[in-house]
Amino acid sequence: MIEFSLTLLILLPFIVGGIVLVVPLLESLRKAIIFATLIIVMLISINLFFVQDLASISFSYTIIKHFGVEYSIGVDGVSLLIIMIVGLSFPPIFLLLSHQSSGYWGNMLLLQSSLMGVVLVQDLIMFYIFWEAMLVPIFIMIGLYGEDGKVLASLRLLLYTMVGSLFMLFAIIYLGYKHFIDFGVWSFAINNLSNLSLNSFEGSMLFFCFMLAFGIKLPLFPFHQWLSDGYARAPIGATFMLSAVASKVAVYAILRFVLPLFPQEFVYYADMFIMLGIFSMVFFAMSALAQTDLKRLLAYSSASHLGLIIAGIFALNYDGFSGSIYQIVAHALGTGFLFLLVAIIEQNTSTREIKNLGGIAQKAPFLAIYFMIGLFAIIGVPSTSGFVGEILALVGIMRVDIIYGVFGGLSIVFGAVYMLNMYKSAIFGYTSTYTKDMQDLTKKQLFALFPFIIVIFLLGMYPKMIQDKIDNTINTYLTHIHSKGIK
Amino acid sequence: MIENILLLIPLIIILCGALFIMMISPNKEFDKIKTVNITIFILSLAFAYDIFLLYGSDFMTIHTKSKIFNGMLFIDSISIFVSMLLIFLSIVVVLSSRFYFSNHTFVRLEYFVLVLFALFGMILMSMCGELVSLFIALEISSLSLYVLVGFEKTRPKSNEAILKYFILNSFIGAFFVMGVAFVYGAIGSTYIVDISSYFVQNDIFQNKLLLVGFSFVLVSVLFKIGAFPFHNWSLDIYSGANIPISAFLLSASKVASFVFFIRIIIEGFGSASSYWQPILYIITIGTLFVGNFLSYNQSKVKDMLIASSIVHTGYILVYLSTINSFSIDTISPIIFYLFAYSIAISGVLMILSYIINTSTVEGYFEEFKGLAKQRPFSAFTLSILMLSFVGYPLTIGFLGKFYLFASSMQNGGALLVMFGVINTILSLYYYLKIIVYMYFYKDAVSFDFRATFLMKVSVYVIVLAVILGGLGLTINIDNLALILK
Repeated sequence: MIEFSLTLLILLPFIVGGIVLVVPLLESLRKAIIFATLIIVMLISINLFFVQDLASISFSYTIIKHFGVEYSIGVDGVSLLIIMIVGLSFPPIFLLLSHQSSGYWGNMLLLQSSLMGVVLVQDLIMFYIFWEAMLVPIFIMIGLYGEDGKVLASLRLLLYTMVGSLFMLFAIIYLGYKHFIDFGVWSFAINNLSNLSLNSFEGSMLFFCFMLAFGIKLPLFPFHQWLSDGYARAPIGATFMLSAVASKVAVYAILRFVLPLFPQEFVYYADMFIMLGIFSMVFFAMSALAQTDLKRLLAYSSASHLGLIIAGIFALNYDGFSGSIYQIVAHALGTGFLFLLVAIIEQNTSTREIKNLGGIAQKAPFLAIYFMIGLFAIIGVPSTSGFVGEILALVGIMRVDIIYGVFGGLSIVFGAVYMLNMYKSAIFGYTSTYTKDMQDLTKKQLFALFPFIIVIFLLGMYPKMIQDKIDNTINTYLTHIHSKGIK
Repeated sequence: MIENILLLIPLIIILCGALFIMMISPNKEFDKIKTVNITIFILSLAFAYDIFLLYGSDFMTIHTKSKIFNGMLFIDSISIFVSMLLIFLSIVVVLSSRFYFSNHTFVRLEYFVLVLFALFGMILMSMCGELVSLFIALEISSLSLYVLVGFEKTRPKSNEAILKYFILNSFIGAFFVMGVAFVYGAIGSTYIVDISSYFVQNDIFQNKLLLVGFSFVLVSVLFKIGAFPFHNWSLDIYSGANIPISAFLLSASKVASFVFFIRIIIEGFGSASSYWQPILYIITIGTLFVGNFLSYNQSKVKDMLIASSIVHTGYILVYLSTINSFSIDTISPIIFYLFAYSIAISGVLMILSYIINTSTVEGYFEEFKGLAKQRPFSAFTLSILMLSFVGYPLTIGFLGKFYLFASSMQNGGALLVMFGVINTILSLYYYLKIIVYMYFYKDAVSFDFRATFLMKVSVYVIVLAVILGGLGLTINIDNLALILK
């Protein structure tokens, strides 16, 4: 039964999204259908949260027998968190953005469907299919509903990501072929492919093909050129999905696919990736300091925290893993929440430049309070969700080498600097021509954004809620690394 | 023997249909629209008979190759499948030609006769068991295609195209016949089965005459499929033709050419693979890259599609370079990819046939700006088909590429697959270009085209097949093997 509900998580938004895109409906009917779909998805996600034994959920249906491509579903700790993020964040976004056109929401629903698909499937070819399926809705949304310069931004995002994905496809097919050589049948299921033994050249090459695809998506340092324009020019729904979910899906994929498949290379190149993660952290934090546009600042801040997540994962210890996984949720909530607020600010004052803003606290105190809470969550003030993940991840990387921890802490300080500086300039201070007639959050917006506040504090003060869920998963990964990886 | 003649009934239907149209064409009562309908009716009859052959073959032994005329022709399941595909493509082409008649008064009813004759030749090609009859079938279709390419007498580009096509193909035909003569001299028979059994005991390098003859044959076969050093004028030839005939060339003719390749090289000379496989490696790499570089430089959508067909030839060549024996399992990925590609290209060109009429829209990329706002369904169907060419998941193009690449890797061609993947990346640019222009820009011209009901239906059928194929619900590798057995 639960497996069927999981398939529904993928199918329902896909079908409804397709209907909304193709069939012209009355506006109220369309809104009702979309909202009902989002609520159903949310309920299924919440139901999943209370399932006791995640490992027992499995379902498999062979699609292509000759090549061993199956549609197999499974859930582990990290995918549960991502499903929760996606399921729970869509209804508030809908309440905020329900006025958008049918094309907008049709694409959002398709995006939701493919995001659910990416984290649910256990077969590499199906994973690739859903991974690619994530791209086109974002591409269309940026290209149709973005602001000036949208075409270049969306094309850059799409082409960059597709290049990485196609290298990953080569690696995937090669893995299936290796399985055929070793075992006589093609198979792409992750459980079967973990049993492969690859020589060091093959392993490294395939490892880097995968990490290229995920490094582009995250983004990790040399592949971040699509980030600034892509986030800034995108409409708010797409930005939220990109920053909050799509990047986390890359992290999930690294844990779920790269780690079991290439444990030796994972351990061997771990140092390199910690350094890359920390460098990204510092580099993007400094880039954020230099930004004048609110959305771009948040984009770089988001990338900076993703650097911390990656560094935490490649620290290969319990603290690093749990900190990073925790940070996935915290970061998704915090950054997504702030992006939504920035969109509201832009809506009310028609500008995003920091120098044009100011004095929002006087005119829209509720907005300022919400913004502050989101800010605290991002910086990692204790008692908000950001603190737990950050401290654990920092401890994790410090265990590897104290100098990493120093730089990590440095970039946390940077984070506080540019955030608080931005807050001072944009929210405090005197009103400007743009903000002097600004209105505060409407009741609907207050209500829609309130769940974020609750969860930020809830996770900050009771992290055990999530820790229980991910504990098993982390231990599985750790034993896998220690047993199969060589140091 | 006589009952095997019944297997040829689809061919006979097409032939008689062609002759019938030829006879009625002077009659003023039959205008072009009625003739379109008649042609489609004839084609559907042939298609229906083919389905009957495929499934209801209790009293005809289809399971082993059924020989007709003592082995000169034979029918196996690949022939039937290919002939069904070719008939379907011809129906699409004939439908696409509809608007040509309202816009161009030069069109005469012989147009349909020629299409049917070309189709006849192509289906005959898939049924031939020996090299001389292959050549005859090849020439039947080629001669019809020459005239079809140059049908627009008033356009200089058409005249240039027919001249180039005629000269080039005649030259290559001469190569082929010379090669067949040498092969006959070396082996003593032109039957393909005899050729393949010759290699059981002998080696190709010992017999210099055979080597030379085979090289000639190989060159002409590679020319037909449009591979790397022989692609030079194919762009000029195909772009000089009008859109429906380009569709016919790119879809049906390509399928027939690959069947030509498979019959001769794989089935006949498969055991000589130590000779032709290394050659094919280099040709594949060249085909892939040259095709992509050509497509980058095109400013018209139709020319881009023609140049990109070279790249798709390259993908199939990636797989062909790795196989050396003929069986249903080895040939299935090729047939599947040809199916996926040919229906998509014929669909795209059908959509283009009613968007592009040279008075207002000439077919440059920039003219497609803003199509999505004005005609959302045309833009949507065009986008889906473009994504299928790229190999985007959820379309049949992805499954086709996956089968080809996975099967190539299985036979040890991992490096060639890498080149295939790199060229897929390169091809992203020009396929996405149209989608970007259609959706993300404001309109430049106002589109005032109308498509007939039947055209819309066939476009939707094709798009549906593409998407369903992507989901694995239509023919996929599992049941293709079943069908073909």
